[in-house]
Amino acid sequence: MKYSIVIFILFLSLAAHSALASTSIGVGLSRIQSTWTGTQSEKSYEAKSPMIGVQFNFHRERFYGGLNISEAEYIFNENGPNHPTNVSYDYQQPIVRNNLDLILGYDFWSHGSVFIGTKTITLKWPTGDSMVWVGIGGGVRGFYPLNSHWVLNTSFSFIPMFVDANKTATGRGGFVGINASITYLFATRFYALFGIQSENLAYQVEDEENEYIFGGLRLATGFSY
Amino acid sequence: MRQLIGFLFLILLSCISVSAISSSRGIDLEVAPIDTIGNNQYFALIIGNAEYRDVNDIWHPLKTSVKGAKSLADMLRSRYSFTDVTILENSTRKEIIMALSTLNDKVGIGDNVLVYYAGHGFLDVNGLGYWVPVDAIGGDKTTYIRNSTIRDEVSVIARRAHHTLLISDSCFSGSLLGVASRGAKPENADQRYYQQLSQKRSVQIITAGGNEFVDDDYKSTGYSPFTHFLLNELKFNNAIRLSATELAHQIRKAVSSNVAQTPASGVLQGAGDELGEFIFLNVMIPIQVEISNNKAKSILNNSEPVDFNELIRKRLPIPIF
Repeated sequence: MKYSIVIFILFLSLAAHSALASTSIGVGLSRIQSTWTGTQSEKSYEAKSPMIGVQFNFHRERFYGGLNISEAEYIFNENGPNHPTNVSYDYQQPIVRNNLDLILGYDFWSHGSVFIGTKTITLKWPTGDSMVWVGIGGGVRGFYPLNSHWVLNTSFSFIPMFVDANKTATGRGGFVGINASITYLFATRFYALFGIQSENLAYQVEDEENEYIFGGLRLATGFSY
Repeated sequence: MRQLIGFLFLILLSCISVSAISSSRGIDLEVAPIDTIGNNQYFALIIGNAEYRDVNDIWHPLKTSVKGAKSLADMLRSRYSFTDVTILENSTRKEIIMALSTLNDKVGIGDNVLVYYAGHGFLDVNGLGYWVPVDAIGGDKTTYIRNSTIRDEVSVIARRAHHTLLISDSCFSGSLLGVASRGAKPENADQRYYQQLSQKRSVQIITAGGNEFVDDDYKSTGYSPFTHFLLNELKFNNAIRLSATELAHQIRKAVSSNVAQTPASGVLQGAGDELGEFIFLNVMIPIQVEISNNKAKSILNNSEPVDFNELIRKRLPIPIF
């Protein structure tokens, strides 16, 4: 998986220098000062971590697509989320969250679009146990240019998800994501983005219902060819 | 995963740095993705050099450059749709180049840019033209601004702007011209004609003369002949729209009829001109509203919002879940 992503990125890098007049290719970095709050049975917990992300995207005519990769490490200190297969762990150790989105969208309207894609969330406990959420879903995105530099953006998405816990237990859940931001387009091809991101992940494994909420302030920058 | 993200970050940096390096070596990796009208703002950089301080006493002070520049700036602000007008009086080589760079930073996708220069010009024995800044040392061409530098700076601006117009009121300014001017406006030119012209990109030049000396003061008007008639045509224009080519033709007729000087106009070669036209929008004419398909359109806002939004869409990051 890692090597296929690297090859994909190298392809994009090379393709970016070719004369694709009607296609633009972009790369971006983001940082979300994220907070993970959640409930597990009757227990609640919270931890903060910067989530670092990379985005690769393309635009061609009214189509666009790309992938988002991000990672964060959360240390709960006390009352962290236990693995659903009842594995306990040292709360001083981080739980690593990885996220991978593959997105394809179409600009149906002048100020908005619909997108679909796959989302994969992986949580890894310090004990080596992991949970994986995989789903296919979609969303809508709207933007409003205040002038030729400032643009308001918002998006909403929903993904029904399948949950796998250590390949020993499975479950189902749903993901809801909401984003709002303002973007500044530089006269060069850079942009800078400042916004808020909120994700709600609710699922049920082995009759136990859990809910994770991730969110925080998002800073991003990128470059398009 | 963090190592992977770090590796990807390095790739991002390398892509950006390669792009920057390639640009500095003159390899054009950027093709401005503009093919339609935007929500265009009008920018102007007006340069008037009169108080030359040449230690070798070759470049004498001029009488009319600064006054002409100021009058043009006032005209553009008050009668035409220019919202950002910067005026440089008696500027040095560094100030002129910095101003062009600053203008490039301000210009957004779909904007319109006018650059005007009034001052001394020079043509060397090799046929290379120059603007002469006020700190130029007579006989030392390294203190002048070469035409190639002017073309490069304007070309960079033209990559973002949808319409760019360079007006040069200086001796030998015709050396900036690349390609001959366009034909005259058809007699039945209507709004559709101007819409078609404004949809295509343009990078145009109007010069006070060809490769010849041009006059400084015209009949004690306080302006050079070229700037006098330029201001005249802009002041007495009764049309909502005035294209750069129309303006150039009118100025050429007026100037050549009165003095031994023939203004010229054309295209900045290699800067992405697509036979469009820089259009002056006259805000003194009351805005007329057209009713088309039961939809009111403002003549001053004849751009298709969808096209501007397409440009914006391509610059935005894709959404995240």
